[in-house]
Amino acid sequence: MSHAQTLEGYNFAYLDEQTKRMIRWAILKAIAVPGYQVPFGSREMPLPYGWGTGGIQVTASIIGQDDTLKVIDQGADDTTNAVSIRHFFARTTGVKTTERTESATLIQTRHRIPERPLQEGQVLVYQVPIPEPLRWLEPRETETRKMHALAEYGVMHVKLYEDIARFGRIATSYAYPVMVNGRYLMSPSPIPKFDNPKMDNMPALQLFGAGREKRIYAIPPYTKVESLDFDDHPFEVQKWDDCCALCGAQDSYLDEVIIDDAGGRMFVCSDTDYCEDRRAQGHYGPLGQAAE
Amino acid sequence: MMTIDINAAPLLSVQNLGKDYGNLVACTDVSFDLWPGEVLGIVGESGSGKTTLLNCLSAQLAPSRGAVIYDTRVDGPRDILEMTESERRLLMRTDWGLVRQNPRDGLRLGVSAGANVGERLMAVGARHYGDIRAEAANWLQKVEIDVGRIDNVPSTFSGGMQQRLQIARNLVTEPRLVFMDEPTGGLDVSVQARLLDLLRGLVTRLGLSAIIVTHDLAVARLLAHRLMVMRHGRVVEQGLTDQVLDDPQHPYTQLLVSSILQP
Amino acid sequence: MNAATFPMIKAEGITKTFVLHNQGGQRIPVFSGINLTVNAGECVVLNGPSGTGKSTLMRALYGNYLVGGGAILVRHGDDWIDMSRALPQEILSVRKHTMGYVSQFLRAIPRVPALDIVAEPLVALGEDEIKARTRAGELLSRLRVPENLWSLAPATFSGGEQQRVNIARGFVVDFPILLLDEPTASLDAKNRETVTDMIREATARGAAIVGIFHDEDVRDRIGARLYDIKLQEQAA
Repeated sequence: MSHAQTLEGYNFAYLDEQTKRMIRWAILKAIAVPGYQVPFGSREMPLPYGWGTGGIQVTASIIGQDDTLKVIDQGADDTTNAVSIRHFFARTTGVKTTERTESATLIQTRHRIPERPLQEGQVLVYQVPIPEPLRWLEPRETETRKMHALAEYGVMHVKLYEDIARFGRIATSYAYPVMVNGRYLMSPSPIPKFDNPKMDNMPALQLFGAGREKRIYAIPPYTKVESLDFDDHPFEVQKWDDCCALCGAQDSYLDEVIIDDAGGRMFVCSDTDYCEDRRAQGHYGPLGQAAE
Repeated sequence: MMTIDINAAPLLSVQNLGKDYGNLVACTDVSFDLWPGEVLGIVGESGSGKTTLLNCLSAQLAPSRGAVIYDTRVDGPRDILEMTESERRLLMRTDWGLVRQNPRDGLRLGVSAGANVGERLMAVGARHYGDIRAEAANWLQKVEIDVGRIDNVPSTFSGGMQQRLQIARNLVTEPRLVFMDEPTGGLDVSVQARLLDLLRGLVTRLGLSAIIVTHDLAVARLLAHRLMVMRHGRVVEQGLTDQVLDDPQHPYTQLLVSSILQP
Repeated sequence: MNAATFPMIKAEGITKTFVLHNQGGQRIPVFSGINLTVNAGECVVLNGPSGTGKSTLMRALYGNYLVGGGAILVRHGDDWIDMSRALPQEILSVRKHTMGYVSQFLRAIPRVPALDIVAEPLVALGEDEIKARTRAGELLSRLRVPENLWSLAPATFSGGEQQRVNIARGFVVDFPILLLDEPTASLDAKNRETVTDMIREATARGAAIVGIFHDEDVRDRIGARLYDIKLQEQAA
């Protein structure tokens, strides 16, 4: 995208400067109190709630002329949601965009953390549908706020207990609750629990925006993030018997893809950039090789 | 069975407690001491202020005046009204129990019986699934619920079972003081009898102190060592349970006792 | 120690009047200013026609009824407790350790088996549950309550069976003081004799007993001293 194609008549990054200031203020507070949900005045955006309005407002408030933006949805840069949002910022800011994790200064994501470890100076912005991890058993906002204030988190283990009682193991596989900095219980947004360990002690800044629920929260760089568990049922991430069919990776989060009408299937990296990068370096999986 | 040791400090000491709603006095001038191992019954008709009193005592409701001094395990006697909210809530899920009339108000209907019982353990830091489950099973047994039902949700239980589950959920942290609001209300008579017997046994074996609000004088006779009779928000008579019921002194108590239908 | 002069109960100048507030404040005087002393090893039988306040006096001694004046001193361990003024907790302690009471009718507790009802006062004193049940079983056997009834709640028992469960419960602990309100009323001759024996054994071990017995034969055999409330009032 070139600057020539930016839209006329809109402020840089769509939001007005007052709104950005207000949101930055909320972000600063969120960074100061890791894991705490800061209310903010969420604005109407030119796309519906549920499409990432929270993440977009956070991104719009912190993006600058020199940033390089990457947008992913379920790990992929080329899905509708990712393409739309990338296009939106390209047109309203004219900043550089990229699909390469290591080239991005700012990454907006829905449902994944990139496989390539993030670095100092990078910012990861999550789109969050339901920020309150306690909501499943406590419908009252006044009560959940009190529970956070008093760090009364025993009920969260009730959910994990129910999992084990029902399935013999902790079956919660995404939006797996974490304790941030030993103080606030936090929902990591619906990322797979596979990604939870990446949040712990991450060098990059992690920001979370929930547009409909009007909440922003954050994990500053190098913050302790623990996934809840039981002593006799420790936290575990998903494992696959297969490697990525395209790049042969055994350490990445795999999506199952149906490839024909006869029930044929393959497992491929959900992080498209990671997969391509590996293939470029000469790694091939069973189907990737065949395709060559 | 525990002896009520009146030489020990009272477990709960209530001083001039009162609660107003605007100009309406819901309860007033209530003072009493409750000793370890003692069961106090509060009786009276609907609107006598007994439930308001129970809610004030159990920190569900802020009283308009008075003091409620509880002998905490760690810090000794403290006015619960001067505790921080966090201390009060901790007290309520560890050293206190609250059994509500409607078990649906005191249970999590969407989670299993085992988790309902285990919740308090997890709330105070238990993090071993196997231990929590074993303790939950142990308590289901104590309240006569088939351990095979441990993974069923309470909405599939009968009213009597739900009430017994609520009791287990409250007693699992071995509280020293349990508040009960009409614990047998809304249950069939045969189910009531079983619950009463169970409560009597638990209170005796565990040496619990309890404050039981009931309008049912037979329940009060069976469970309470001592009675307080309330009318129009005031305590009109108090004393040894069988003395108050068999030789009532106050006109209102006499009316109450003489109004019971004998089967 | 001379048992005959070792008082266990000293009731002094006690008065009882019922006031029926809901019947125009009607006052029903029962007795006034009476004295009663009962020594260890002695059995006192409250005498007189019905309506003279025998059961009322008994209930006052037990702390079940309040009295209007006077004092009811009961030897509780090394202390004297005034039952007319004692705190509820003190009265419960006296009943647990010192004073047993066999009422006219058993107040059946739903669902609790007869054996446990009898054993309960022993268990309350900290006795091992199995030993307490064994002792309870001995008493029920002696009172000819068929063993197949022991595990049942007594609500459905006959009057005589219920009364024998009640007596067994009263005798399961060797209380220093026993109050017996017509324990033999609904019993057959054999069981009456057994209860008479049990009372004699109790006085022999030094228990102070206050009883109401209409049966002359029983009174004679337990060697009771008669106490007439009306005569006492006149004397006072």
